[in-house]
Amino acid sequence: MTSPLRRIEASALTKELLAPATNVATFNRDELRHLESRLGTSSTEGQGLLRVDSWTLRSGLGLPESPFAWTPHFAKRSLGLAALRLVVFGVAATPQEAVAREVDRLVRLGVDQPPRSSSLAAYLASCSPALRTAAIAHGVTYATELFCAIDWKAFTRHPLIGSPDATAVLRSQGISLRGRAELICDIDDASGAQLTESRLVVMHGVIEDDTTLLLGSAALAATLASSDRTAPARIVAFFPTSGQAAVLDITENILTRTALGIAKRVENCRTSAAESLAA
Amino acid sequence: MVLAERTVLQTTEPRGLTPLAGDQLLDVLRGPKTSRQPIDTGLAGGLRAWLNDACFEARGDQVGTLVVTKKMLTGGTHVRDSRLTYEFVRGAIVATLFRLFITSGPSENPYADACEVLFTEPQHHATAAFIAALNERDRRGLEREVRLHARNLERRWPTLSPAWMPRTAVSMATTLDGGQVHLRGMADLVIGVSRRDLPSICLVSIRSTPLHHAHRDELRFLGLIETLRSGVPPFRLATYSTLTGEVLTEAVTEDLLKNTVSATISAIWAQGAPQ
Repeated sequence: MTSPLRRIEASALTKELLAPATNVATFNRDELRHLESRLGTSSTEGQGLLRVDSWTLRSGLGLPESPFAWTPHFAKRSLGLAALRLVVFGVAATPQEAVAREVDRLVRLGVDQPPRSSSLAAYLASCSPALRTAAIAHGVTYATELFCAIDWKAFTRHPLIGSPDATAVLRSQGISLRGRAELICDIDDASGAQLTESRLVVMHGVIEDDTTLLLGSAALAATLASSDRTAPARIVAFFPTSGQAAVLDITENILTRTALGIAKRVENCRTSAAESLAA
Repeated sequence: MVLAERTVLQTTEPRGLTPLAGDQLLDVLRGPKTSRQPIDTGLAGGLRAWLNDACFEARGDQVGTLVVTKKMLTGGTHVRDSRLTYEFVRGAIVATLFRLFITSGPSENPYADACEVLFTEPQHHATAAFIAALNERDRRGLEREVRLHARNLERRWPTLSPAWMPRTAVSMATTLDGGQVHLRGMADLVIGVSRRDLPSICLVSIRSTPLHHAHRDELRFLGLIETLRSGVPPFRLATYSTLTGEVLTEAVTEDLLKNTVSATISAIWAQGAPQ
């Protein structure tokens, strides 16, 4: 089967993000329930939901070895996207200035938070100046690479930069499906009649065999979490490290294949967890 | 068929380098504006095709991913040889220190600050363990050395305009042979905004030792990766010694990139079995 992933030049990222949609997948309630059912069912009632997103899918859906704790490296995306908003909307002149402003804002916010808070603001307020500087450095690199990759002048409507993950809580399946997007752009369909969206997802490393599934999972989460039961028209992926870019046009078929792919991985994960428990 | 002669890179020390500081250093990083020529749009594609052909020849039907790094182009250091040395650890600390310095200027406690940051980076767990295992005398010696590098940076390194978009520790990679071969590296500093029509970025590599030609060759490898990943070569490569203040700079030419392709092909042939 040919891959539905379409590789593009990184210079075409903006064009792909803003191109009119050729297909908009919409679902009625029954169709959406049917799509959800493709994600399988869970016999693990009473247990916590399994978090499914591009990161956990890539790392085998296993439980993390240690609880999450902020580091400068982990802060890069939050800081980078906040800084990008400041630069794109003309509040700051450069990513360097923007990240510094954002860190100052978060530190002011964080000093009033309880010491046990797990927020980025609390971390930045309590960490050493060296770690704060390292977080700024990470954020600047992230923001600069994304800022340079997009032709911001081409946008006639402001994109959403770094909005919260689309989250679909699927209790019957025992999973919490999350879809990350660094940019969300409103676009029209070819007739100019229907407003839909395209999403830019920033990925680590290089295009790999599972990239289609990871991008599909972002689209599936966005669809299941959408208030109007509409799928994004396309997911555009950018890999800053390798300069690679790719597009996944979202159709009903892609979403179904993604759901089946996720179901298979979730089942494998639960089977191996049960086996190691039995051993 | 071997598509490239084995390329032996020079390892003698470059002659005639003098320490540079402030505006002088800034000038050599920037280079003459006239040296920036519009790019040959087919260059990156041609280099990639050449490398892909060579990978196909060198690897035959081997499966598995081969990762090529800059070290494999110069001293023959095999990628599996990951033993840490005192010099490597000092280099990692100084690179971190440089990152902090570029971001927010000098530090009062450069050694402690750089180590604290280094210890949070997953890829440096072994480095952290190495430092933790040093005896008190060696640790103090390392701290003294790092302070010297910090003073040198403070004294010599110019202020970069934020408009040049300086960014640190920039990871770079590209794949060849249908994803079977990865070229990977990291630039300590990238300056300039990427453009499609004109080489406009400068890659900077930081060294905590006196400079030698292997350093320049390693940075050329990064220049090749940048060319392949973005389609546009950097306009300039600069290797800077935080110990001596020397800087090796060069414009990126088609010949330079072709020589680096040859060296990369030699490294791929030399690796034998994939990892």
